Amino acid sequence: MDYNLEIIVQEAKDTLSTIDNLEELSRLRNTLLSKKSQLGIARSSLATLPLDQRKEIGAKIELARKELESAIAERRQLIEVKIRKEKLAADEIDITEWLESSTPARGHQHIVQRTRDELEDVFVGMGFSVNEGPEVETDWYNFEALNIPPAHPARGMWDTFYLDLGEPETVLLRTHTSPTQIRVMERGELPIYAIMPGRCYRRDTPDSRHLPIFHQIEGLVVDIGISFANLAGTIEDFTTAYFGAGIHSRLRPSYFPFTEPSAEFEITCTICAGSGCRTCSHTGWIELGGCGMVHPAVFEAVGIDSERWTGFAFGFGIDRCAQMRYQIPDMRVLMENDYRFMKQL
Amino acid sequence: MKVPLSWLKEFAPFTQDAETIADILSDLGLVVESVKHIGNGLDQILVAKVLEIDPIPGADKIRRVIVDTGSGEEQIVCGASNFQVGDHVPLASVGTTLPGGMEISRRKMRGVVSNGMLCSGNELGLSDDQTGLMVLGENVNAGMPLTDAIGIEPDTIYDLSVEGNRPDALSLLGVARDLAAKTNTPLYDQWQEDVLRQNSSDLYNKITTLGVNIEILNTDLCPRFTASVFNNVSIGDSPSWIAKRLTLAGMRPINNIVDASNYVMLELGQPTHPYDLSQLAGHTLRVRASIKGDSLVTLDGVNRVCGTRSVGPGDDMRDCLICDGNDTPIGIAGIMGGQSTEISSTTTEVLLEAAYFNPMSIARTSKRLGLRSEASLRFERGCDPNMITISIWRFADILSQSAEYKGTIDVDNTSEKPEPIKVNISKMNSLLGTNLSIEAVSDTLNRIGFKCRGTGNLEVIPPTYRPDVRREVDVAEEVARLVGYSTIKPVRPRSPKVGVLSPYQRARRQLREIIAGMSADEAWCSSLVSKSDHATLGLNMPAVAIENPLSADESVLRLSLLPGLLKSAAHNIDRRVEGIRLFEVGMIFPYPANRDIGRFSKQIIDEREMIAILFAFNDDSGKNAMEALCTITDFLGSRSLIDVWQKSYSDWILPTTSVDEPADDGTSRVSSAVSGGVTRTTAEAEAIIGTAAGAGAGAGVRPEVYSLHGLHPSRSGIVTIGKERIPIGTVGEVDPLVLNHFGIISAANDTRHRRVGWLQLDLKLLLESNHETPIASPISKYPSTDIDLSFEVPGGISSSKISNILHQACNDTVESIRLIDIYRMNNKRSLTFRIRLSSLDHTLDDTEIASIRDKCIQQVRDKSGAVLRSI
Repeated sequence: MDYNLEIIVQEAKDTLSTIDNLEELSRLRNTLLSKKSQLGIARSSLATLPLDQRKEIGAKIELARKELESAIAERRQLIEVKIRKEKLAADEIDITEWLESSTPARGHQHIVQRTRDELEDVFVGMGFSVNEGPEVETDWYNFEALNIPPAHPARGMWDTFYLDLGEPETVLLRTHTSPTQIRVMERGELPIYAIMPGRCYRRDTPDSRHLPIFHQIEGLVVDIGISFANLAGTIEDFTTAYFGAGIHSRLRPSYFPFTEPSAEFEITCTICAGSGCRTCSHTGWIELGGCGMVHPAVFEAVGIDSERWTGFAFGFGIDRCAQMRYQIPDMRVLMENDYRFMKQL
Repeated sequence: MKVPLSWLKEFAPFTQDAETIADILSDLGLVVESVKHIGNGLDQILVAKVLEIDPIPGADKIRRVIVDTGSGEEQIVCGASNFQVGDHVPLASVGTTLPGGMEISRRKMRGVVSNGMLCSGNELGLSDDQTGLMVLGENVNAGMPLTDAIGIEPDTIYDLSVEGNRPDALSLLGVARDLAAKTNTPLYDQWQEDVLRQNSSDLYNKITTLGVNIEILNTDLCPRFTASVFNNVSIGDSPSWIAKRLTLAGMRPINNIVDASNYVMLELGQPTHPYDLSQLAGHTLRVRASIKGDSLVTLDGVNRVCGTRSVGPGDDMRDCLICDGNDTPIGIAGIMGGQSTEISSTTTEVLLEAAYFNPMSIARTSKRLGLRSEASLRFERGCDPNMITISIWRFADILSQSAEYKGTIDVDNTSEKPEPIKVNISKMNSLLGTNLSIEAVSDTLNRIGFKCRGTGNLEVIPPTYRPDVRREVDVAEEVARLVGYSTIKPVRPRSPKVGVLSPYQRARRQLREIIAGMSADEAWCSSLVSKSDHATLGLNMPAVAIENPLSADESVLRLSLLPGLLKSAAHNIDRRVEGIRLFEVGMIFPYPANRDIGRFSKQIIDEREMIAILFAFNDDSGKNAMEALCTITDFLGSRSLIDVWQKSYSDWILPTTSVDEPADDGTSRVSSAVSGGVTRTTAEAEAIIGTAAGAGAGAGVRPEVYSLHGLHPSRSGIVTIGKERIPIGTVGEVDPLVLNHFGIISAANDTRHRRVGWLQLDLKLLLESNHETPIASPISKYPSTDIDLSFEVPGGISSSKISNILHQACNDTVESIRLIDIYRMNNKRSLTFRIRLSSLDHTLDDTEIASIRDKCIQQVRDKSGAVLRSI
């Protein structure tokens, strides 16, 4: 028996290479390896061979069978990869083409609230606590305790909404968060390192830079040995921390009844980074808020010994801060809650 | 205050350029609001003489003018009509650029060529007058440069914003004094204080009889009053240098007497008032407090009535008035004179009032009458009583050619001598963070007129023109101001405390983030709403009213966040934003039940911080509000804390939230509501949940009777918290009637097109109920089993009630209970709950499960009347 095993294998492989689907492949496999196949016939005829040849040729046949098996497996894998490829190719979509849901995935926190959070974080990092107080106040907390007696000309700085509660006591909507400073000091827990954020009210007709309802953040430090230099240092550190490196602060003399010395603080114009533009009237600086050393009369009003303790206070508008940072031309948009505005920030 | 640089230079030889001076003034606290350069760009403007004026056919507003330019004739078309042939006027010829930037070109109007433009003062940036051409005086020639013709030089005008504590800086002298001190430029001799005093005392003729009576009835209102008489007065125009300076400083020249008074006020800061003596009844001035009903017509033609408006509680309503011999008011002291004694062209005798009025009295009167003037601005800040005689001298000096000074009656009750202020230098240094020597301090203070004594510590006497300096800190500010704030080196203090948000503040922030994660945008709505906003929502309890609102739309403090959010939603829907979810964290203001308000009250109104969400996307409904509530509950980790009381049955699928069986004792949830040991009043609870007034009063009121105003009558509930079942908010859908009112839907019963979900919670009650760290419970390692039970539920029984009963029945084997299906047919409602059971220590077997199932069915039937649906 002279089977040319090599030819058999080679022919089988040639046939295999023409197969490109799994059904045919499995049919072919049956054909190639069945008892009626050339290999099967060869194997069944082994019994007729002499013993010495039987072993040798048997091994050759087995080798040829293995070779065929692995060629089939290889082919199977090739076909499977091809099928997978075709299937996935048919699955094609344009990933950038999707129907935008009318329900946005997330909402936006109000830009003023977020600004307030960020400001709080800066001061918390500097060791300040965050204090909140009532929006409805008495004349005492909003004015008198702050060294502003009734009809003091300085009251003209704060146009006030008064409330009608049918009481002799003057009740009003706070015009600044300073009454919370008084309430914090009244508690008498010294030293104080505190900020006071919150909503305030002034009877101003709204315009692009003013709203009758607005948000303010004030700071108060009362400790032994607190100086004007400490005030300047706190303002400078805060300015750089919040607005970023390159933005600095400066103080200029001003007047508030509740601080002495008093100052206005300005920061490097955030629009032009100090080189001068229309926003800063070409000065390179924009006014942010007021500050000063707590007036001894204020300490007297809350029963703090001004010979022993000194302190400083500062305050500015959160809305103004947001307006500057996000370059909002008209502040009135902040209260409209217009989605087209809110979704931008 | 407008300060011309040329005028400042009258006081001292300032050499700095205009921009540097602006900077120095701001550094001194005399904030420069604006800097205006005038007289620049006038070099090309020439004087032209009008030779001929002819009408242009068909045009009635413009005329053809032929002018002599000095080097020939030109034809100009001009729209002004205030000039005649022979007048000299400014001409901008072709190619010239005006100070405003306008370039003059050859133009043709109605067929007539115009070779330039004849100018008004306004067009040249020289005055505000734009009514006609600037017609020049006599001694000018055609072809002369305009600057020569009117003697104008380029100048800089600073507009200073002078703070309320600086009366002295409302004068040129005061500004110059500060600037001189800061720049180390000595004032010219004649402006030194001792020279001024000497000059005035040389002239001053204090007499008692001038044929004029002065009566001061209330010396507290008017500590010093002087009346000076001038004879042989000739009224006319002021000399041009006075008129020019007044104009530059923003005042209109009137006549030589009034101008001199104004000039003295601008120069020295002392307001004075001239009367026509012949018009003064009884030749008497009586200074007294007003009586209610006193009235007069002031110079501005307005009738002013005293005693009509109070500046606040405890106001004595005393206005200081100047009256004549008949006791008729002829002027409001220190604010504005009356018409009856005004200086006129026929005036020959002038009485000049120069006085010192009580600053607070002037401030109050100014506020009561709503009337401010240049005079009141100065008096209310506190004028220098010692400037009175100097200002009389200066007035007489300016008018020396046109009026004869006779003498002055001086009623002086001022007694206050400036007290020396003790200044501890080391304390001052430690307050400022400086290291200044005593010499440096006293030198600095001397330069602004303060007198200093002492070697170790200082005794400082401030000048009388600085009434604001009374205490040691005031002196410290002066030193810091002149040394320069910028020279003080910033040093950050180290807080000895740990900066940290309170648990409440932290949780509030987290909640805002969670809600933003529900696709809701955070809104900021006005705390002020209209009465009708509340009425629309049926919030009929009183709200706190604003005494002086800007408009009726914002006249009361809000009782709910609902109106603001509805308005914002409507705003968006109006602008074709298809739908929106909005949330807000903000205060509501229940009307105080206890109105015993003192000036030191800890709290005037029990302001409640609320968190509210409005669900107004197209497919939103109350279901979204319920889901949000469950998410919030889950965030709080407060299993068993929140409960919702339905007014009626619901369609909402409850996610996994286990709720305890209510105590179901039928007691009032409102009147017994307790928070932090404080009994909440019905009114406050009403404001939070919007119940009808009275609904919560008395025991025996069941939650179901709450009428949730503004919310859908059969799709809403109240949210209670804790074992005490304190009402903390509302959940549900907004009443379509309300939606329609706010313009969100077009018909009042239209629920097909848009439903709006609503959740409002009292944030403080919500968060403070649960600031303890939650304890982790073990979770089962064994497989769980689900059983689904469908019940036919009678009307009036809520899904949450069934869910509660199931929880009880399953006891500790329950992992979750979810409402998974709602089926409605012919007024019957069937609810399917999926109960997931597991045990901590073994796998539940069929017998156990069957027994739990039976227990569930039985208990639901017994406690609610709902029966298992037969399939």
